[in-house]
Amino acid sequence: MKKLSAKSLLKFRMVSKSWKYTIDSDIFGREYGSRQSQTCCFTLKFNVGNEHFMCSADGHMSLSLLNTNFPQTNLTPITTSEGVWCFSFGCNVGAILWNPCLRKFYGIEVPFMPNRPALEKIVWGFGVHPDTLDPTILNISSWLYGDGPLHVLMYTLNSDTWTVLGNDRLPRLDITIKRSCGVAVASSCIFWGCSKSFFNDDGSSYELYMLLSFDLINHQFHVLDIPTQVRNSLPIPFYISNLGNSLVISGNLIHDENRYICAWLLEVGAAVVTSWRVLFVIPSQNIAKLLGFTMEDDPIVEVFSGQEMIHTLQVYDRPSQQFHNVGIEGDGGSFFIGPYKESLILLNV
Amino acid sequence: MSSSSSSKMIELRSSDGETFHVEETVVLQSETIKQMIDDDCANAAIPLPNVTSMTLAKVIEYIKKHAEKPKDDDDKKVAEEDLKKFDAEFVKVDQESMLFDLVRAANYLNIKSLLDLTCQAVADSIKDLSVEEVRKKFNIQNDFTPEEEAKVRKENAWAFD
Repeated sequence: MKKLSAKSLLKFRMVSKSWKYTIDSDIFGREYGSRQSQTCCFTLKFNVGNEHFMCSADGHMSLSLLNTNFPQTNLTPITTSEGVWCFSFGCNVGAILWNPCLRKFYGIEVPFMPNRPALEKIVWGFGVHPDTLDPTILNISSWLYGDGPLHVLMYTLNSDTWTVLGNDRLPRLDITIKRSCGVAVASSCIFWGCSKSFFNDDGSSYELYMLLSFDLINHQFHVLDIPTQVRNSLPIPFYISNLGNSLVISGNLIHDENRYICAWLLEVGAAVVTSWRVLFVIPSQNIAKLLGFTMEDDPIVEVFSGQEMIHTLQVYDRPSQQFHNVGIEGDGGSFFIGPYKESLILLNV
Repeated sequence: MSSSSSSKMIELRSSDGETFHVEETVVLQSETIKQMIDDDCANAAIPLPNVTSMTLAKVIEYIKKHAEKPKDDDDKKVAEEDLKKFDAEFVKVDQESMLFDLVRAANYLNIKSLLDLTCQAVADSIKDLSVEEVRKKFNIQNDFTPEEEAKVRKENAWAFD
């Protein structure tokens, strides 16, 4: 039965009580795990003005619209893990989990916390536990001004409750999480970009960029140094994403008046970058942002088209060694890609 | 190619008493039999009370084919293609009961690749069936009340398209 697609399993829950009981059980869900689909490559979200589009793409980059059965306005994708999407909604009042292969979603409200900073900056994190497949959401609140302590709420679907993380689990205080870098899940950890400010003797300051990780198994934060050679050529802004179980840092660089999009692949543990290599350096006339990868691990990017706000989706074409426009236009910054994976996560909510 | 005469022969006996002689190197694909050999229990014929001679013959055909070793890299590609074709043909059995017998035998003998192959074939054969057809095929009694059944259907109506 584990060889069947998630859709067939949904259908066969109706065969008999024992079939439904088996398919719905936690053990079956865990053993089914999450797996690559033969037909679907990734899920794509983008906006055009006030219209929101959610599509699935097959290996040949042909898109079909997905019916999401929940309103998409006011939703901001945080990241995806094991095929499950996590959005924040409204002004960070809650989160929505969505499993596209089951067409199931689940909304979670963030509880009111009287002791949180009044003027706060909220950073979200999301990842699925590698063994139990339990979706885990983090809501990190920090002071907008000054260096007050972080306040971290953690939600797990199995417990269906938010807990406040104790001080012993929190990261050190001298770092600032960079929301603009994005969130990625790799090697059983959630990752963010972060920075630490240093002051020169003349009063000027500079920032040192680092990575922040949250271990999904032992719920511990760590700060990781970016390897020196990567850090020395680090583009600002930079973005983090993942390729399989590895972390990817990407951004645009200008060299001899030519613009490039480049990416580094980092093998990571919870607290340390174990190795790294340059993943690609590709010439790009316009500013391009790495969104994800095709089934053949070729990069998919969002490219500034020259017109204000309008960006296009482009895929790297190996024979011509260039990006190829696949004919999808949307608002700049609204594109978001999550690898498609089949699992039974959210089946019982 | 693989029929070197130096390999030790192992004797297997099916549930209906037929004996089969297979090279040890071939039969080691079965974790169950490997364990028996490691434990020195394979000096006489190994009885397989759960596997009929018809099924065992098929299993031996499979493990013999999968034990062939290509000579070089060029051969390797051809052999891989050949093996794929063989696997696809192998699970095209006349009677469906044979497929289930093979699943059971692969499970009992603990031959992972054969278990994967046959389970996938069973999954492929039912994935597009309706709920009613699956009940009929596996002889399953529908124990839902009409209300319960309607509720389950409603939960994921799109999956029944």
